[in-house]
Amino acid sequence: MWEPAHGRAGRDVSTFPPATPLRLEGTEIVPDMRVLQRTTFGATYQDRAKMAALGRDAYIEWQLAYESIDVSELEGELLSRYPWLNMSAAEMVAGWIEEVDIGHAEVAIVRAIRSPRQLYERVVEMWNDHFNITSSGLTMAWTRAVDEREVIRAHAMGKFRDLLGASARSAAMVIYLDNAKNVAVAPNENYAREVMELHTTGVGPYTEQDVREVARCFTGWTNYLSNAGNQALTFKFDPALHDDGVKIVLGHMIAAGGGIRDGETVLDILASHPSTARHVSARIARQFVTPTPGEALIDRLARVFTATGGDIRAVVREALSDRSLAYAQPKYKRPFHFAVGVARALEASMPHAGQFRMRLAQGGHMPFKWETPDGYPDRTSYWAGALLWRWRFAASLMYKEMTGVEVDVERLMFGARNIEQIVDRIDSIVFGGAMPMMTRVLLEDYLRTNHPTTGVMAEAIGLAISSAEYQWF
Amino acid sequence: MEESPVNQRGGCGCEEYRGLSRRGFLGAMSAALASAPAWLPRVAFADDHRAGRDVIVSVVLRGGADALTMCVPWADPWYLPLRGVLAVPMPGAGLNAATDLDGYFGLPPAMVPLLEAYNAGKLAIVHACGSPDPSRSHFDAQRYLEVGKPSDMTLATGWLARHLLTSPPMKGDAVLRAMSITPGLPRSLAGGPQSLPVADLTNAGLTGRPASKAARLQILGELYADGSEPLRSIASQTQATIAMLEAINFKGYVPAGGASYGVDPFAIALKSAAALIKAQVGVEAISIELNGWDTHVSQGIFAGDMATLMQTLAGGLKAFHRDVIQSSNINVVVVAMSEFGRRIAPNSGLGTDHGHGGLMLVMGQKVIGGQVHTIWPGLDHPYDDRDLAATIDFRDVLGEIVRYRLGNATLGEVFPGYSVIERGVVVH
Repeated sequence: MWEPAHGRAGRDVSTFPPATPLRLEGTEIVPDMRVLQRTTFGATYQDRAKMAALGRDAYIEWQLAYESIDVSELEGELLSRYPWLNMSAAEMVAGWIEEVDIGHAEVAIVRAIRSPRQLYERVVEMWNDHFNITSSGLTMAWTRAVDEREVIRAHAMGKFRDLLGASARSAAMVIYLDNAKNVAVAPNENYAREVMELHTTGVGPYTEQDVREVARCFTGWTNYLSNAGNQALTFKFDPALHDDGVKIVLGHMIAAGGGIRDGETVLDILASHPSTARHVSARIARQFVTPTPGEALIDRLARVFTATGGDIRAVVREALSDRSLAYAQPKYKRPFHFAVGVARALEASMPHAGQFRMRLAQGGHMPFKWETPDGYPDRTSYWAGALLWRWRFAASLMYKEMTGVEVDVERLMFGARNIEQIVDRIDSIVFGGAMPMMTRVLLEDYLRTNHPTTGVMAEAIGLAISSAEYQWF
Repeated sequence: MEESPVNQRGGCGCEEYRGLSRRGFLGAMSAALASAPAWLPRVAFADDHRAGRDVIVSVVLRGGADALTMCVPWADPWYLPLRGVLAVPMPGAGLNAATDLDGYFGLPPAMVPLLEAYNAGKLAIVHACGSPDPSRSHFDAQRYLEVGKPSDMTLATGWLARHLLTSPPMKGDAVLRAMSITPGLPRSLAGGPQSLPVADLTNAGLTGRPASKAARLQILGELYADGSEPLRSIASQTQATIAMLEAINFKGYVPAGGASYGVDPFAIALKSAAALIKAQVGVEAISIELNGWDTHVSQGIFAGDMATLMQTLAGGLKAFHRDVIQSSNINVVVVAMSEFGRRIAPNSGLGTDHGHGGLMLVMGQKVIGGQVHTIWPGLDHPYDDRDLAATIDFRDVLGEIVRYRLGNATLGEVFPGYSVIERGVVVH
């Protein structure tokens, strides 16, 4: 039987403290709570219970050591529903499996909702933006699904150089950023530019001449075509297309005749460049600490990055241990985070993820669909205006207009005997006990005016997740 | 209202003319009331808000659109030799030949739908324009374009937002002043007043149980009332926007002038924009995007990726020209732009890498169209040895539009640190 979250049922409303205004910068919030917010797509009562049992440091270590958190049941379910999940690109080509394009977005949604490895999934989310590849058409869908498994998820918590190297040899990346067409006689600069601007150093340390030289180094890094049997749509180095002359990249001379080593040398130079330590650290700081990281925080993370040889897990640990976390500005939930968090909080069952995925597409945030290599934006100003989409999502979900996604309101509200208890329960489920006073008053009014049938309770939950406070984490 | 007796075209743009047209318009509106199309909401006729200012539709073409294909400098002696396999044949040269515009420039087959607006004098092409910043980064260049200040990484508000901030609303009781028909708000509108993104205007009502909709909508606003900005304002604007959009029958909208919009998202967005403009609810700036112009490989200028994009762009603008520019007496100015152009020489993959100078399309009743405005640098005088040079700053075009078509003389606020040079692209 489902148990309500700890402790709030039956509390006297008049003694309820005014909620801490999460949105104000410099306001301290309970560090445990903030860690839960940042390391999950919305903390459930189980997450809070785990935090209470382990304490903050042990909780973070437990989540960082994600390999020892059992996900076999979830992954088994996913594999039976999406049998191509462990296939090679060649097998997907041979089976001409068209459902991958929408299917792997659904897998990303289901994992974010249900995986107990929540921190790992948040790290995966970050790298999917950092190494964005748009899944569009079957070739991209097949290679992107392999990229997700063998690049992003395989190296998400590992060494940055390994992640970068796997990405550079990912057929999806090679095709997406046109390196497949980067050949000695006329280099294509697309990957060369973005591997510096987006993946490693950021704009600044390199010149246009460096872009051209890096492009030369990656000439011949291409992929087998889809008719290449077992090797179909995998990475291929073609020495005949490689420019084997001398190159100079960021001041380093790369001797003639290096072949495929040229590209690896470039990746070594980029991965160990001080700008990369800062660029990647800033990304991690934005994902886990604050939307506007200061220089001191970035420096601190960059030092860990450098000292550990680019160990992502160590940098994430440092970010989550940072004292500034409790005082950090809240972050605005992007549509994916919002929707996934709702499903987690309300323990939605989802026999079919299609409607959920389509809603995210309408909200402009379906996994793997951002069109340009910079990944989905994480600016509040970009997403904040689209409240209408959130209100429609919440109202549709709670009115059972989203086929395949089910919220059992009676179960969630079981035992709540009066309006105060119903609102307490909503507080516990949706806000972890931090519902603002005004929200409480408005929900109680709504329930009182409309008589709290199951349908009206569902609407009250819909209003709670549509409220201002719920949009931040 | 499509058959207004008032001639809105060919005016001098001076104060006297504005006064006349305003009075004339009010009279025309009363006459038109009786035969108003069924899709128009009743509120549309509440007051006249145009005050001589155009509604602006900003179209961003993300990815770096290849200006040398979109408007071909076929008479530049270096075009054919330098463009090589990606050259559009000169006019009269058989299959896929360019259609001549002025004896120097021409349109590729996929852009020919624009001829109608061009020949009507309502479409201007501004060629070899762009930013003084040398960046070939999409993301930096898009930021500079939309913020309206090259080389500035700190300014957070957009140029269109600052225009709105420094000019009174066209309609005093407008629910929204700007709408972006996208899932998120573009940088050009960041920080602006009453500006929201709505991805799909045809599905913008509150969902859920119909009987409780009004009550829930009321509470939704109150749930943000003691929260912080900008969400508090966004919530109340969203409440009002739902009501405003529900009063307009977007699904039943019938375009005027024999216009026929496609079913692609760009055409649907333009068609929604047309309905929104004609409903006269006070939205004075609309932002739309058509993305995917980063054609590094297999550019496909006759059949393929870029041809499809150009057909989508030209087809959408053609319909909008017929429906609004030609058939409505509400003045609208459409401006389409991209973050940069592409390299002159193709790469080995039948594509082009990031370049510099690009082009802008400007369409409207008060546009000095039917010509290519340019200070052509010549392809033998490339920027940085490789790219089309930008001899006209994109802010010259936008600035002229802001001053003369949007009636805002405070260009120092809209484009800080820059003195706009008027290029004669719109009626003053």
